Amino acid sequence: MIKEFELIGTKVEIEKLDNGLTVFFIPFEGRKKYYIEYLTRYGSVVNKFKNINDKKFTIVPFGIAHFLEHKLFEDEKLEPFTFFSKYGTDCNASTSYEYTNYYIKGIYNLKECLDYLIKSVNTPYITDKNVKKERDIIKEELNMYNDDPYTKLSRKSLEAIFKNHNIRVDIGGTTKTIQNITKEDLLKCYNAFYKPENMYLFVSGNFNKEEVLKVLRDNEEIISNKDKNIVEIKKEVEPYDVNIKYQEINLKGLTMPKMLYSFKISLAGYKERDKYMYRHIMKLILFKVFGPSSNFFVEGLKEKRFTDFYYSAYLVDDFLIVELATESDNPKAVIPLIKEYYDKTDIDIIDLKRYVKASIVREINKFDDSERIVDILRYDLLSFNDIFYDRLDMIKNVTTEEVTKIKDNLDFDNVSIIVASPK
Amino acid sequence: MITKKITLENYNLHVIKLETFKNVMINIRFKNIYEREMIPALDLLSSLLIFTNKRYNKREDFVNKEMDLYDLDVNSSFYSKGNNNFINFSAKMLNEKYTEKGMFWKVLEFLNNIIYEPNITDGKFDSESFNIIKKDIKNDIDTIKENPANYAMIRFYEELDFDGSYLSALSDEYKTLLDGITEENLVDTYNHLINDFDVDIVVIGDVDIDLVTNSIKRYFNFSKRNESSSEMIIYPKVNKPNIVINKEKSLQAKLIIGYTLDKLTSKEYEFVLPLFNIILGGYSNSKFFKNIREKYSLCYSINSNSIGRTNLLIVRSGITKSNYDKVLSCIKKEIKSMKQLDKEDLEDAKKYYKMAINDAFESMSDIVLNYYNHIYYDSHLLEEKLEEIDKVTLKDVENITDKLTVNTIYLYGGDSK
Repeated sequence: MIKEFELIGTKVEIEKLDNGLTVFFIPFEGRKKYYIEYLTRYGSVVNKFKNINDKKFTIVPFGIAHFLEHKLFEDEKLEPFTFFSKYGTDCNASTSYEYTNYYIKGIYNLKECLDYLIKSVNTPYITDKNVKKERDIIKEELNMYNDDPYTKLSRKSLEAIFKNHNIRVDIGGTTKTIQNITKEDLLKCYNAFYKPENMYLFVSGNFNKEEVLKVLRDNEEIISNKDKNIVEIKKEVEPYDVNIKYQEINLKGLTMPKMLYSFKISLAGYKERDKYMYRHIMKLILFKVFGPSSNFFVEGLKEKRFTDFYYSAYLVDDFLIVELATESDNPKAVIPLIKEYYDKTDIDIIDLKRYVKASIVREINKFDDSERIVDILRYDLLSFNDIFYDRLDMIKNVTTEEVTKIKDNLDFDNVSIIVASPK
Repeated sequence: MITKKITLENYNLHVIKLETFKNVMINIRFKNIYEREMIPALDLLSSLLIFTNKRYNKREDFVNKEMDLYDLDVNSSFYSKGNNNFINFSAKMLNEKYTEKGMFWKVLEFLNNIIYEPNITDGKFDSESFNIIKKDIKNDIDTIKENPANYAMIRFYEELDFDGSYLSALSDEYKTLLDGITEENLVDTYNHLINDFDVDIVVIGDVDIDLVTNSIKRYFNFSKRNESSSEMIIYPKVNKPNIVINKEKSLQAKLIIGYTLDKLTSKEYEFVLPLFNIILGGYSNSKFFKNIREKYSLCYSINSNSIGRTNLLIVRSGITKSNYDKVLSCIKKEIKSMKQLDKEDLEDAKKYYKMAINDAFESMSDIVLNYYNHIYYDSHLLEEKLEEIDKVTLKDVENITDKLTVNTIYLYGGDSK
């Protein structure tokens, strides 16, 4: 099936294989490099699951998805890094809350490198000894992040926004939880989630599609020889209300006070397309009210209320989290100004047209890069179970009425505020 | 890819024509000899010039104009490299064939406003903008310690400094110089930039070379060209390394080791040293990664790099402090093993290097960076690098080992459980 991103012209060819694996092909003319990403829809937030026929849920320690990511780049005979270096191919992997991915990029021997990637991910080599060894490496990684005050602040913020959701726990787990991870835990999770119907393969850049399909056919057995049971993931019900509305904390490593102000917006019941547009429109609102050309930002700098101000909007299941962040000598004084400026800032048709123009350019730019386009596809699939090929049209057709409606509905009573001071 | 150098009055224009990208990027780079006391002022100036200007003297107007130019991405940066100071302005725009005719001219006009119409009235910069940028820089300095890796790197350079030429952002001197900058005396810095720095403009994208040349000529002119020299900083070889351990309560210690390289040729700097670094600690099949991380589990991150326009090689790692001696010993062992490499080590490194060069072809910024290095330091263009790298022999790489001497070892933090 070939789909095309309207107005941009980029084509995506999608093949759903009999074994359940979905493969996306995105060719780029005139490029030398290929970029291949092999992804499982299994991230750090999953710690409770069962096969459909089991009575009880299995609970595993946090940090397994990330631990597995480390382990799958290990082989009894030939280390993946050593293998890929033979062809000058770069390889790496990463874990997020929602997925784990393994990627390679290179210019030579796509066939051999893809073959190795598929084999590596589909034939885990996990022993008690190599689990023990990896634990120390992961511990150093966690220490590196735990020394970073921004990581710590972000963690505190998630704990304050969410009451039950596992996003509260660091992607890598904690040094305590990884101590309890065994070979059996890793294999249990691997068997549950590393199956073709739960995975995607993205092939972008310079490649031969038939060559790729042949590699997949040659590896059909190991790809499809997986536990066929359907897995049910247990998710705790997350309430609408934020967990903690206000807190003041002291953080080691900070030298200047910071403030995070987060909204928790429920999009339960919204269609996926509407969720996509809700987030887009919210980013427009945030830009107008708090962006670099806003009165809030300009007057804030002028009056020395803060030295910088950031915002972001991201989806966590059915929630849209809007996060405002500032660095300030007196962050508490900034808090009431947020609602004040939000209420008095209007968004008119000129603002809308200007923002639409800029948004379209930003979208087009993403399609200029063979790796960024995979980011787009991945994000759409994991957030919406769909890919929006008419995204530019959707962006162009936003009306001021839609913007006003979303702006007026923002609930200032459901916010979580953290003021962090140096320890 | 077609490249053309056009010598204009007191500056050079370089056009890199290629059809791979949807964007066009315009870079205006100012270069002069290193002036230590000027660093805070030049840094402040580079940010101030893209904050507001005479035509767009309100920040909101400046930002809105960028958006009206189809989300024009304007950036500036100040940095020192070798014996030079640089200020770079760049503007990335969507090629006008995707937007509207005449957009390239409008972008050049906007850049012209940035360079030639600073927000100066009655002999001084606009106070409001000036104070905002100055506070921002002070804030950046005050929060350096929030990033332990960056903080450690600055402290390392303080310890490495052998002739007093390094100006640390953490020093009292830097703060004094910064405090001493006023709206009035910054105008002198601006005049110094415009009148005394050498300018090279690079335009890259799917463009018409003649059109670009005529357009640039119309919007930019400079009064003179000094052809300032571009020398390397050569750190002296020491008999005994300087070992500095700074305590700080953190989970992980940052280890930085600086080595000096003795009398390398330009070929060794440009081609042999990158391969040496790849094999030693430059990718996930390097000796550091395979052994210190994977085999002994002593770290998560460890790498080796050389610092451009210096004779320095730096090894960096995040470790548990109690493993300090062990890690040092392992690093020493791996460096020693560089004296006897396998043919495979070199072949793999060359392949990785070539992949990285080919990757650079897909990045406008990387192509431009390479091109400026070619202009200033006569280094090879990307296509030439692909050919030259094959001439490096195993012996060339092994010989680097004997030219390394430890200069400074710096350890920061790691003093809590």
